[in-house]
Amino acid sequence: MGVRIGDITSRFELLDWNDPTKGRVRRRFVNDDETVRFLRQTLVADDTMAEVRQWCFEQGIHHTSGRKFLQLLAAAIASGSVWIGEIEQISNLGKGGGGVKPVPPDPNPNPGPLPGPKPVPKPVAELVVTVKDLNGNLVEGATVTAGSLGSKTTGKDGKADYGKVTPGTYDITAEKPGHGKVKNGPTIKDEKKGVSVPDGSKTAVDLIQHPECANVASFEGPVVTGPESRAKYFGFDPKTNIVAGHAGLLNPTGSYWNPVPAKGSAKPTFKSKFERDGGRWASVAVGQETELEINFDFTDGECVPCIANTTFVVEAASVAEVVTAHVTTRKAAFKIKGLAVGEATLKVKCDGKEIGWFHIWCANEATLKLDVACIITNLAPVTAYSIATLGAHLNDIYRQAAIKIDLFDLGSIDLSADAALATIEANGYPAGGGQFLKKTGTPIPYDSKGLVLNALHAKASAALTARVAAPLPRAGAYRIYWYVPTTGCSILGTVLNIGSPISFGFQPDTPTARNSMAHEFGHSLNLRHPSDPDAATASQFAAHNLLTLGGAVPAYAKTNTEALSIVDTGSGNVLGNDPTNLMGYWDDRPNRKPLRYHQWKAASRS
Amino acid sequence: MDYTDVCPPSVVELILQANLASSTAGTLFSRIASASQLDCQVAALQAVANRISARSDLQVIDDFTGAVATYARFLSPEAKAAVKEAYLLMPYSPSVALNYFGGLRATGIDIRDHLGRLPEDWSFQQPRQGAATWHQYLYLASLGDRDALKALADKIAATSNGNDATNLLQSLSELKAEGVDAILQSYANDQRTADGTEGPGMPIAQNVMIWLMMRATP
Repeated sequence: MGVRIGDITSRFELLDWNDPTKGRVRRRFVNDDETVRFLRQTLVADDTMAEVRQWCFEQGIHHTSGRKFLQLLAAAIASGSVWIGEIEQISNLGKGGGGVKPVPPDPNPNPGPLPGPKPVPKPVAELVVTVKDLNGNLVEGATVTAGSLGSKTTGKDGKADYGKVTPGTYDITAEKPGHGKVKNGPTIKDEKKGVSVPDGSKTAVDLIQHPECANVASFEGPVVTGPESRAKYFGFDPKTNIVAGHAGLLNPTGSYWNPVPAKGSAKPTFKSKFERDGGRWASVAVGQETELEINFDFTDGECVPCIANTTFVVEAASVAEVVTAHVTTRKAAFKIKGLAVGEATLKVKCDGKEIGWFHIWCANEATLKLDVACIITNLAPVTAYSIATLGAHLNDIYRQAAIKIDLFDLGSIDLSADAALATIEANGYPAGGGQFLKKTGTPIPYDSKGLVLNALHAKASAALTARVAAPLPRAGAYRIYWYVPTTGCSILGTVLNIGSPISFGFQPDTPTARNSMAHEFGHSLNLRHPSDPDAATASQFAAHNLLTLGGAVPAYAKTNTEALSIVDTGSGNVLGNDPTNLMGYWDDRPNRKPLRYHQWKAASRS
Repeated sequence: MDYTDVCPPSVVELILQANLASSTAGTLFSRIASASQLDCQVAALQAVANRISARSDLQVIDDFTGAVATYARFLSPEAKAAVKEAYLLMPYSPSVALNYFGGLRATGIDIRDHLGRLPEDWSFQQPRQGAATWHQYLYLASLGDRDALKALADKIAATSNGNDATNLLQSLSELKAEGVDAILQSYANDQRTADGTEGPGMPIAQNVMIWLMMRATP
């Protein structure tokens, strides 16, 4: 290329004969003298002359004398080996669709008109900004701002191309919602100040926008209302590792973290499966799947990249695996599959950092047989019940422990003609009439509970064993008797003793009665009341939750797995931390369904 | 009698379609029992016995052997033979011990040579929690093995908790074998109590009296 002649405002260049003509018009002279005069007028500054001499030297034109040099140069211009180009005026560019046509170098130049005053051309530079994440991935949709040049959005190639710009110095920033300058940091914008974009240059600038890590807000079962709410998962336990947040009992927000940490702030670190860190337990049967959700929290609305930047890792991978993970704008819904008996932890990681976790208990699914029969005596008539409804209720509950209940209806057992039984049975009723197993009076009918119920069971068993036609009692099955006294009963149901396969229900078939049967069946599986003083109780509940026995039940945000926000004063056999636990006595009986990790482990499986 | 002759078409179809290698067939006999009469159920047991294999699912094994115990008194010699053949083919797991050995006890089928020496674990406290060895020994005792009965008695004697002892004694009370009554009688004055749902339950002595009475009932 050529060299400019004159000061910075000059529009003239010396050009080699084969330099392109684009954007330039050839300057013509009458003779060498005019050429020399033009050169002397133009080459005033020493620095300009030095540059011109250097350029001419490269063309083979040189002389120590300034006068001789200009004459040699004028001769070269006259011969056409060197020519003077005048940069086209801006106003001419594009005029008439093509502007001034460039004139190629003329080997026999004729004199042209003398140059008139020309407008000063603008210097030209180019600027391209590329936005990447810390892994080198191109970031689309980032907003790049370069001072007075304004803002542009990066495309799929991660670039914001400003094209030709005025040379100068610019402050350049890049930002994108859900991204930041560093991993897990509070800084959002990446910024480079005072970036020099010199004339004639093509300046490239790289900026960083790395996807943020979302904050894990909560782990839940899917939002499904109604009695089928446990259909998509087995057990879900937000209570065993409950944080000590609200009045020493509950996290008031129901959040996984308390509170959800601010962007870039430190989060709790994983310590153990039994740390009171809010980590949930989920159960799943071997070979089956359970569906759960992680809800994420963000600083600035939805953040798909934040979740996309998240990975799910099962530690003890032989126990369970993530089968599918469906990411939406605020949630990751995923299925985990049980692989082997044991326990595992699913950790949610972002950029190598643990941001949340829950624990998985995996067991072989057990099928327990449960026979249902109705005992008829002179004091307890036949009662109607629905095996299907009871079965649905029981399976809704015990599925949490990977236990399937196989119900079978033995029908009615009429013992009304058994005089010996009637004598024993009378011990369960007040002498003057009244409720079965009444807890007051002389003698107290409740004190005869064991004697009466064992007698009923013995007689019913004998009758069933004697059957020679269907339905037959199934060997190895648990059994529930409906025995519904005409006079009513002081209790809803009971079991012969903890671990006995035989239990009773004393109320007509209602949601409350069915839940009572589920509770009594729990006793058959060795589950105990939280208020039971037996040493075995300690292994069936988290110790910190047992300490809330009889304590006030505070309000807490409902989770997808529990019914309602509850506020109440303390009452017996109710855990303040876990009021709806099946083995407690919470008043809302139809919704008293949850079993927890320790109970999953404690329940008999044969 | 062939099950296709005595079962309703829906039950025949149920049996034909059952995939015994899958846990989905783990409640097959409940479904049969809910839709048929006793002769069909007994015939169905023999039909399923003929299809049991080493690949049968454990829940199917649990269901099948429970049905063997349920219908034992109605089985013909041919049906018992089919059941024994099934036992020789089917897999065993401690998780199905209750029904597995229950079926053997109820039928009197002797497969001790086939079983060989199974691993023993006497650490259980309840007959339905990790108590495969308990059920194995109930089976051995049912075949007249006096040492097995003594081992059962020793386990009960070593159980200090009244509730656990009650549950073990209750389980033993269902064993039809010589010497069981004597073991139960030895607890006729035991005042330890079972655990009720609201405080102490019945004393062992009182329960023993009831179980002895039930055993005396034909």
